[in-house]
Amino acid sequence: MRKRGHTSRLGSTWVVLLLGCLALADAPVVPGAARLLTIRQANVIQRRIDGPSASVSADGRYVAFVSFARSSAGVTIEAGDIYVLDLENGSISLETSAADGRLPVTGGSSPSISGDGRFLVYETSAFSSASTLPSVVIALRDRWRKTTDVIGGALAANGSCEHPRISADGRTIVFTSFATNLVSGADANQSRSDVYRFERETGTISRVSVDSAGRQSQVGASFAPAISDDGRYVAFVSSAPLDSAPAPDSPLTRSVYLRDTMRGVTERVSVGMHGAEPNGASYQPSLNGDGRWVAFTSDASNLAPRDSNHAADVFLYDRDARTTVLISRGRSGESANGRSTYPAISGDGRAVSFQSDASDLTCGRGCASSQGDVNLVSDVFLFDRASGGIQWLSRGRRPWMEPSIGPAIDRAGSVVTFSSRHPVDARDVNDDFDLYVRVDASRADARPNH
Amino acid sequence: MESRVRPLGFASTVGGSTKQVLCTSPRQSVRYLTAPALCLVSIITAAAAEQTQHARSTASVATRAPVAHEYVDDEATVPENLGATLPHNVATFGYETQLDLMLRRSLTFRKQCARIAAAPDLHVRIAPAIPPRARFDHTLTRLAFKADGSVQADVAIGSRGDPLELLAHEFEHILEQLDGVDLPSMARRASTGVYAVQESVQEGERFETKRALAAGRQVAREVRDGRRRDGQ
Repeated sequence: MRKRGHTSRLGSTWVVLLLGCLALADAPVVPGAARLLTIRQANVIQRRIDGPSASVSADGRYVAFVSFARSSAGVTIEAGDIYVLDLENGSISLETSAADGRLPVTGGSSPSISGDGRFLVYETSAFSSASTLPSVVIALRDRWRKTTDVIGGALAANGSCEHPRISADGRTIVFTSFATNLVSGADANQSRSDVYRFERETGTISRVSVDSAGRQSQVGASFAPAISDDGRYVAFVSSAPLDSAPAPDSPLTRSVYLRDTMRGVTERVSVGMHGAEPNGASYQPSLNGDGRWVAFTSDASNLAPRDSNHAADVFLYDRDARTTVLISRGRSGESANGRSTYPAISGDGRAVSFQSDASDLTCGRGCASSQGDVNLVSDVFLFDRASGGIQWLSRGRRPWMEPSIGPAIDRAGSVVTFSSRHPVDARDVNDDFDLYVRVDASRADARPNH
Repeated sequence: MESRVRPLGFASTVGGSTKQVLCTSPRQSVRYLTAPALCLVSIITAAAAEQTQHARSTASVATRAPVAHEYVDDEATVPENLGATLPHNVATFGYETQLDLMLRRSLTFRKQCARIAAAPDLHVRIAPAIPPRARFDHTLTRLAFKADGSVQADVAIGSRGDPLELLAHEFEHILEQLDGVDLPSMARRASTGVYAVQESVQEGERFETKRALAAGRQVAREVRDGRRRDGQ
């Protein structure tokens, strides 16, 4: 048996890692070949239902992400920190602890970064004067000016604010809130959540989860917004009947809506074939840059043909053509054999990344056993609208056996991030989630005229 | 061939419902499964499993700030600092020779061990199967998710089949459960890589997975390749 000394093995490992670090800044990007970066998130609390823990700027240069790597060993994890990776020079900046003292924050989560990487929004806990308990608020960080504020002075809000998303132009922020005092007037659905829109330049807040007449429903809740590049369009989930009068005694079902804030029109995106009511809930919307395409998850089986898997699937809605396409298909063309969730659509609308438990998305019957998806856990995939093809992203030359979840994507679809329990390197023996950043220069080169 | 499964008792538990997940030899009842493994996984689910998740949330984590690295594919990602020793949370009663061989020659097995070692409240016990009243003993893994958040995995290795493959196969079943794989749900859908085998109501739910089969074969292959390199 060939033996290698422990010291030399360790030494060679360090050399590889050192070279990897040094190579990061100016590593050549080979056209057609994807480059994969890893960053320690040390996240032991991530679950597959938690959604993305990263956000990619529209220009593909910056990645904002949550990491627990700075936490002390043995300390109960309470909050991670938000960092931003600059893919151009490989630098990583800590954003949450660099507060200027104006905001007593403790960590952050659910980051969203503007198109040029200047503005960053995230959830954080802060103490208000009205309560001894911390509340969840939305922090807005200007990375150029190094300032951090709670948006809209929301420390006075009487409910938590969550799930912020910032438009690519950095002017508009949408978020979910349980507060009833963010806008003037009575809150018709009281402490049930609504979706709000914050204009950064004017500091105004308006309620987005209303019908086309501007009315708020007395029933149901709205949450999980997504926003177009210019902030005009907002997609969100709502169990309120925002496109029709509520049918008496009918159960509230979650639907995906899109509101054109310029025209004041709210339309339902998750619609069944031939005008039928969907037979399941729809959620997790992702909106492309100009608001034409909406990717979302649905439990319904009557949104598009050939959906027979009795599991959540990912769909793509074209607002221009008013058509819905099932994306999470197996190689046979039928709906895939497992649950698919958390779509993230590229800004140009050409690519949709999502996570799936299915094993037949890229490899069906007759697939080489060494390439088959046998890990029984979530993987991350990329759907190309032009070709209709699906690519398995969370793998190396051989499939990974560990779960990969929570994709995020840039405008061109060339940068996709996700979290995975797969070891980041030879020294990683922690069974935790870390961030993977996949850069495919060929997709950036193939950016279409828009 | 004997196809019945040795009836098993479950570890005493507090809270949560109990269900059985049994993996069986393909040659006995599922023609497309070929590994000679037969395993039993008992799962105490629901509340107990949630408590396990909570326990994980309080685990220790690394202490350094994040740094970006180029990902180096495949073998280079296999954790290597375990050396040639089993994880601290694996106790063996036999099979030391085979396990040592697997640790030294199989990258896949070392990777399995790394994940098991990193599971904060998992305890694995490996022992030969005690021949039951039936004519054949079988390879079995019994997992109990306890109310205190700990997980006890009892692996019993039968006398039929390659113990190297069986050990790795059973380790992968443990990892499947740590990953929260819902075997009954996946077995209900076609071609998911999970197959239900139920030979009698008394035996409860039984499943086999392509994932465990692949892992067992991979480890056995890597050990064999190592032997060839060594000229043994």
